[in-house]
Amino acid sequence: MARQIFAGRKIRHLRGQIGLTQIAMATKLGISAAYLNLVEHNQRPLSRKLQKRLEDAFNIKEGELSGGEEARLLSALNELFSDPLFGRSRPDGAALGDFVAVHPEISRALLRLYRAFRNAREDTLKAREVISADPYFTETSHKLLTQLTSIRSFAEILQDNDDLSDHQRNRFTTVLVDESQRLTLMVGELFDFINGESAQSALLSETPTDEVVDMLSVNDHYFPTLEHAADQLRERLGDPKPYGLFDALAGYLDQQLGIKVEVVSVTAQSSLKRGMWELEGEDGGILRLMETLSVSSLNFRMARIIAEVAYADVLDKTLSDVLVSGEEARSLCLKALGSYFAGALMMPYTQFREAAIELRHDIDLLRRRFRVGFEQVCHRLTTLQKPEEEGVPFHFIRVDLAGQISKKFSASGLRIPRYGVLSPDWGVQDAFLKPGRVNLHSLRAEDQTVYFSISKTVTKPGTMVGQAGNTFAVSLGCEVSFARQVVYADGLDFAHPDSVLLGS
Amino acid sequence: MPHTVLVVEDEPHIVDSLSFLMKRAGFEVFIARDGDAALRMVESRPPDLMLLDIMLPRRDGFDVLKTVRSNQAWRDMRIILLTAKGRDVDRLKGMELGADDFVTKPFSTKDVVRLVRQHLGVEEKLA
Repeated sequence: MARQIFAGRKIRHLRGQIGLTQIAMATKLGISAAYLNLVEHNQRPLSRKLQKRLEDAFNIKEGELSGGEEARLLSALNELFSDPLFGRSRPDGAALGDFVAVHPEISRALLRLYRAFRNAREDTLKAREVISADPYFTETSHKLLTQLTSIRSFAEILQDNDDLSDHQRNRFTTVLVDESQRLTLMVGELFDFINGESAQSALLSETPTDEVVDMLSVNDHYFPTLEHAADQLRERLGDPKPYGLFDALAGYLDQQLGIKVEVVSVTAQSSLKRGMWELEGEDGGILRLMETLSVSSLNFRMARIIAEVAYADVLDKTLSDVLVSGEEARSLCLKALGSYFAGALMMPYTQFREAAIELRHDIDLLRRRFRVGFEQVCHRLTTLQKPEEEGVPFHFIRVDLAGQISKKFSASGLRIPRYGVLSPDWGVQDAFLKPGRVNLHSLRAEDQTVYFSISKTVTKPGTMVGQAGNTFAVSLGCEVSFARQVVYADGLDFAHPDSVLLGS
Repeated sequence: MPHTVLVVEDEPHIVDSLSFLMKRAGFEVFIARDGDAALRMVESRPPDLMLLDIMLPRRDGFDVLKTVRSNQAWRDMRIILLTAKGRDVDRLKGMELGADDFVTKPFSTKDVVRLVRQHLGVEEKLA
């Protein structure tokens, strides 16, 4: 025997919604008002015939009145409220039944919202698992704990053993100092990695680092106020030639800002606060830079200090249009803008763009002309987006051997992963197989756009005698339609981009 | 005859501090910098106790532990794992494979010495 359906509450609610009296609705349905009254008060079941009439007359979804849909919604909501998230604050069955009957649309919306929440929660858990299994995270945490263990062990030995010889005491103290320095560097690298001086655009700013990414992206990676300020400073410095920039910047720091520049010996320095550099004193002071830094890195560091000290108002003004969530994001954005200023000072926009066109984006020739580093040229190329005077829109990525992304800029439109490890399919890590050589790659993105890119290793200097520097692979790329303007693509057949998957 | 302790650890400064303290505590100390070397040393002269790091070059600590525990001749050897904070999984796995105890990095050297003494049944000398 078929199940009897009592849908009075729903019919009453429907009638109220459309503003009909019982008599008017009953007339429309071809039944008596008294019968409708009995049905509305569940004194009579809803016949199949009346159900069909109601569905037809009031455009009701099939099954909605018979409760099939309602039963499904009720069951789904019961499941929703059994989530531990709600604890004991669950509505009772009758209240939930009333709610579903009267507000099916809100019930559905609630379920959609819950599904979205559940997916987000699962994604978070997955991300946590990925991070804890990530080789970079595992290795870094192991290194950190090992360094801490060494420091703690020797500190305890020194504290607990009064009878150590002078030789032992000296040896253990030296270990303590060395290990503390290594720990400082490691923590610095970790923070650099977390903060990521720059990154690629995304839809939502979920972290302060994302806010830097979004700031660059929203501005198309080009900041006219900073370009103008950098040009003004160059003029004040007497438009120095690239090989005279060091003296010009050191002179400006000393004479205009009261900051003495000291390049310290790798053997003499005990511990620079930032690893490769430190600034002592806030109003004036001493800027100490490690001698192992290349001239271009020394210049870059000085230029960034000038930006932060002498052009703080310009950086602030540039950032004033950007909505940042807090101090951390603001500080990171200012750091990124300071770096931009330094790049613009070392590679003036117009000259650099003209040179890039003339030299067909040959990075080695560009770095020689401007006396800058390979990575600095790559970064500057991503910023040539001045309206009416645009350069090729490039993207730039830097990864370590494990594929961990530590820098990313994308003016080319290529979507670079926001987190974690870059897939080997991108070819960037291939550079590690041929250190120092330029490797060529093509890549078809998810949206079917084909990109051409080059990759090469770069090595950062160590901070102690005998300490090897860190090596990264950097990649610079553009859409294949621009590849003809890039010297590295000469001789490649882009009529068949899929065939252009290359080694060096 | 003093008890023998084999320190299996690739980080030279930790080896340095542990061997210094073990010697001071009156133990004879041997050192292995990777898993293969540890097994070679166990074969040539099984120690009374092994302080075994998990993340080692070539052959990891779990592998060493498994090999040692699979040989009846070495069943009395005490094995204390050096694990890392936050790696509960490593600890559980190590204990399942037959480790006797563990210390967590960054550990206190005093605790390690105390634990070694405890497992070897050696009382601390009073100053």
